[in-house]
Amino acid sequence: MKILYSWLKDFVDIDVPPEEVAYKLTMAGLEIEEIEEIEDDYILDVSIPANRGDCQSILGVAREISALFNAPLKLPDEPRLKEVEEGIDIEVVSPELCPRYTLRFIKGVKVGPSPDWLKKRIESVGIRSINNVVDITNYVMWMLGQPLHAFDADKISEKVIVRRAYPGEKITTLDGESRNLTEEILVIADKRHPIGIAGVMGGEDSEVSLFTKNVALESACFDHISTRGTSKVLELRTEASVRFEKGIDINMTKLASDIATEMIVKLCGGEVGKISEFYPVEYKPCSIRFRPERFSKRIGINPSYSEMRDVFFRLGFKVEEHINEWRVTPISARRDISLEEDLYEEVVRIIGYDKIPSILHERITGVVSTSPAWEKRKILRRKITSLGCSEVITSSFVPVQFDKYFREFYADDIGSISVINPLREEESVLRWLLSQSLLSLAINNVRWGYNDFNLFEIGKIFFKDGESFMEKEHLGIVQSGRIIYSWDKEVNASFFSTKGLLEKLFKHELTFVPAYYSVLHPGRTANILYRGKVTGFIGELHPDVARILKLPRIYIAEMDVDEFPLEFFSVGQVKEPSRLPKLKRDIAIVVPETLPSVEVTSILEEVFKDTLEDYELFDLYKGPNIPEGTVNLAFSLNLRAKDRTLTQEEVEEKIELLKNKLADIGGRLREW
Amino acid sequence: MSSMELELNNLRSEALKEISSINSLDNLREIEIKYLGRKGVLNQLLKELSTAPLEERPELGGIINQIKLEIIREIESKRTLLEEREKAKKLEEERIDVTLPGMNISPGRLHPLTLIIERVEEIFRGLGFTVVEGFEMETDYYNFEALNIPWYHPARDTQDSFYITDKFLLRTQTSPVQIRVMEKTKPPFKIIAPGRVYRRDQPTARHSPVFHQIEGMAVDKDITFAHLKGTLDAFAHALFGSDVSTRFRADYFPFTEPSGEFAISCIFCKGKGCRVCSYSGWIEILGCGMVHPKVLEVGGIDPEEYSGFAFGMGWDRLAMLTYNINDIRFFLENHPEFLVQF
Repeated sequence: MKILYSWLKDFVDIDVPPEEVAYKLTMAGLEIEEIEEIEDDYILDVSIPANRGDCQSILGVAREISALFNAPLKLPDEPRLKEVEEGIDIEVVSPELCPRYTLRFIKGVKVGPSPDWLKKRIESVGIRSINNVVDITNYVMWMLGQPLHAFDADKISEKVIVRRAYPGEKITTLDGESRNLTEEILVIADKRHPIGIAGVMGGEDSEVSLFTKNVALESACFDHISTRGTSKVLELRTEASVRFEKGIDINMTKLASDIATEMIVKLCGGEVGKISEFYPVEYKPCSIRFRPERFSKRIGINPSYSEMRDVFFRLGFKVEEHINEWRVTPISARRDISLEEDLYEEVVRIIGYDKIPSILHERITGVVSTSPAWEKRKILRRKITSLGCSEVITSSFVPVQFDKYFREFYADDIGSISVINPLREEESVLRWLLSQSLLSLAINNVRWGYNDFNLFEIGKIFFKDGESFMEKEHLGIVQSGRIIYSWDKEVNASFFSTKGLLEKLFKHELTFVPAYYSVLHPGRTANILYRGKVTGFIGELHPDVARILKLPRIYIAEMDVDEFPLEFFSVGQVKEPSRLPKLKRDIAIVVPETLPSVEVTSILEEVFKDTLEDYELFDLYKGPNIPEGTVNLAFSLNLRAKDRTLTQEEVEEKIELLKNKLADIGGRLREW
Repeated sequence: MSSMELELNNLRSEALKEISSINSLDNLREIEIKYLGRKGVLNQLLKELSTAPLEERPELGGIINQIKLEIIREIESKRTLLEEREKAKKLEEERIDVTLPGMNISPGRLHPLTLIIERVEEIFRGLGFTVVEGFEMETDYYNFEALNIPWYHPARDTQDSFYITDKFLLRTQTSPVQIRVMEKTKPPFKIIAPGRVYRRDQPTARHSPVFHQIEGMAVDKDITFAHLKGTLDAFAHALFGSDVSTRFRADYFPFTEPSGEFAISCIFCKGKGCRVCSYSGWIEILGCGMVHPKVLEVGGIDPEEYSGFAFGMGWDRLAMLTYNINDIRFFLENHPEFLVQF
C-alpha cells in the first residue's frame, strides 16, 4: 500500500527523514519495500501483514508511527453536519454477515472532476481519478481504512436491503462484467434486484455518473470471512474487499461516512440528508490478561513495569494494573489482538527485537530419535557416490506422457496421483516411480549433448492404493554411454554395470528374476526380489521406446528403499579375520546356454557350503572349443575352513560331488 | 713355456676376445657352453690333462683353473652388462607420453541441495537438534487448520496449494511436521525437519512450484525468544561465517506469536548494499517466532507449562546464497554442467 509522506504527517507530528520512519516501521513489522521521491514529497510502499487490517490506511500507519516515535497522534475531528429530513430506508436481512450498515442520503450534488489537490493525492498513491464523489470515497477509504460506496440514489427502488443473493440472480458490476450470484454471496439490493456485491464492488446500474443528482453513501462493516469467500469465488479483488478481508475498525464506520459526507457537500455541493444506521450490538474490545512475569519468562527480557505500561499507552491501549496480572484493552481497530501472547508481541515490537539477548538453550533434549529414513538415505548416498554414481534431485511431477510408464511394477488396483488444480500440464501428474523422472532427465541430458551419464536419485514416489494415498522412498539409477573411459580403454554402461551397483548397495541379498515391462527390453529386464518380495526392477529401455524418445541405450533400475530397515545397511556382527591359509581353485563349467547362471552358483554354494568364502565368475565363453548350445563359465573359488587347514583331498572330494550335481542339470566340469 | 702353456695362453686370449665381441645374451650363453659347459673346451682340457707328464699336471691344472675363473668372471660381467642393456632397451620401448590425458574415472557427486542440508544438519545436531521428517501429501488440517490458518485466513493467499482431493493437498510448508511431532512426542525436544514443499506458483528465477524448506522447533519448560535468537545466531555464524551480523525484526505468521523475520548482513556486499540484497544490506533468511499457544494446544501441549520456538527457512534459498546461484530452477533441472561444479 502506497502512503504519501505529507498525508501521513496530517495525522502524526514527526519531524524525521522518511528513511528513519521506514526503518522503524520495517523493524516493527510493517516492511517498507521502497521509498520513492516525488516533488517535495515521498511515497512509502508499505507491505502490510495479513493480520494488520488496522494498518490499511494512512491513519493506521500514522498510529504505528505515533507509537514507535512516541509522537502524538492527531485523530480527525468529528464533523458537525446539518441534516435535512430526507433519507433512504435500510433493512439488514443477514446481520450475521453485516454487523454494521450505514447509508447517508446526500441531495443535489454536482458531479464533476475533482479539484487538483484531491486528484494529485489519490493519483500519487495509485488510485485513478473518476469524479469528485467517487474520488472522495476513495480518498477517505485510503485515509481511514473504511471502504465507502456511493450509489446514485435515484436508481434505488424504495429501500436498500442487505441480504444474501437469491439463487440464479445476476448483477453487472462496475467493471462491466456480468456475474452469477449464489446464496453464499452477500448483496446490497433494492426492492427489485442487487445493486452491489457487499464489500467487493458496486453495480453498474446504480453507478454515480455525471448525471447523478442525489447520492446514497454506504459505509458498512461486512464479515471478513464472507467477503473473502465472495472475492475468491468471483475472482474479484478490490481495494474494498482486501480491507474487509483483513478486518476494518467497525467503530470507524460512521465517522468515515461523516467525513466523506462533509467533503462531498463542500466539494460537490448539495445538502446532507439523513443517515440510516444498523448497528445492533456495539463492538467493545475485551480486556486481555497480561502477566509481566510470564512475559519475561517467554521473551527473555525484563523491562520495567513503566516501560511496558508506556508501550500500551503509546498504542492507545488501556491498562488496569493488579498485582502480577494486568488487564489490557486494545483499541477497536486492533482486532488482531486477542491473546496474552499478542500483547507480548506488541511490547517487543515497540521496545525493539534488538533488545532481546541472544542466548543458547543448553539443556539436552535429545529424546526424539532421528528419522531412520534420513539415516538410511545418508548411508545409501555415501555408498553409491563412492561407486561413481552422481546424485540428481528432480521434480515430483512427471511429464504426462510418462504417466503410466513401468505400470507392471504395481498391482492392477494401484493408480497414479494427479493434482486436481494444476497450473500447467507439467505440474499435474505425480511420479509413481523415480524411473519416470530419470527417463525425463535422460532425454534432457541427451538433448543437451550429454550421452554419458551415471546418475541416481533418492526421493519420494506417490501412488493411490484404493482410498489411501501412499508415499514411499525409492532409489532410482539411470546409466548410459561410457562410465569409465580414456583414449585407450572404456567401460560402457550395461545391464550389469547397473546391476553391480545394486549388488554392492544391497549386499548381494537380492534375487533377479526375468520380468516383463512394456517399456523395457523383453530380454533384458528383471524384477528384483528381496526375501521373496518384489522390491524393484532393472532393465534396458526398450529399443522402440528409445527410438521414439531419441535416446541411446539406457539402463534403469529402481528399488523401494522403505522395504529395507536401517539395520540392513548398518555394520552387522563383525567376524574375526582368519589366519588359516586360503585355497584358490579355478574351475570351468560347461552348461546349456539357456540355463540361468544362478542354477550353477547355487550348486557351488551347496557343494562347498561354508568352506566357500567367496567366488567370482571371471569368464564366460561360447564358441568353437565347446559344443554348440553350451556356455563355459569360469569361476575362481576362494576356499577356506574356519577351524582347520583345508586339504587338497577334501577339495577333490567336493569337486567329485560337484561333478555329480552338475550332471543333474546337464552340465559338466571342464578339465583344463 | 711349454707348447701346452702356449696353447692355453692362446685359448685364453681367444676366449676373452670372443666374449668381449658378444652382443646378445643368447650368444653369451653359447660361449658359456662352448668354454664352460660339461663338454666345453676347458673341461675337455682338464680331461686331457691326464695325458700330460705327471710333473707338469699340477701347474697346468692351475693354469686351466685360472683361465676358467677368468672366463667365468668375464662372462658374468658381460652378462650383467648385456642384461642392463636389454633392460634399458625394454624400458625404452615401454616409454609413454606422460602428457597424454589420464583415465576418466568420475567421482560420484552429491547434489548441491544435499551438500547444504548436510552442513545445516551438522550445525543443528551440534546445537542438540535431531532430524525428523513428515509427509509431502498432507491433509488440510495439518497443513493449515492445526497451524492456526483456518480456511478463510488471508495467509492462504500466499500459499496457493495443489490439491489431490478436497481434503488432501501437497504440503505448502514443512510446518505440519510441528504438529505431527507434538502429537507423538512429549517435550522437551528440539527438531529440524527438512523436506519438499509445493506451491501453485508460476516458475521464475526466484519461485519454483516444487521447492524445499527446513523447519525447526524446540519445546521445553523454559524456552524464551532469547533462545530462539541464540540458536539462529549460532546457526548463521556457523554457516555464513562469524563476521556476519544478524537482525531480527517483527513479522507475522499465524502459527507463531510473537513472530519475527531473521536476516543476515549481505554476504556479497558486506552490508553495503547490492543487487542481491536489493540495496538494503540485509538478506532475509527465515521466518520464526514463539510457537503460538493455540498450536501448542492443538499438539496436546499445555502453553502454560511449556513454551517453544519454531522457524522455517528456504533450503533452496540457502543453497543459492551459499553458492551465489541466482536461479532456483537450476536445482531441479540437473544440467550436467551445473552439477559437475559441486
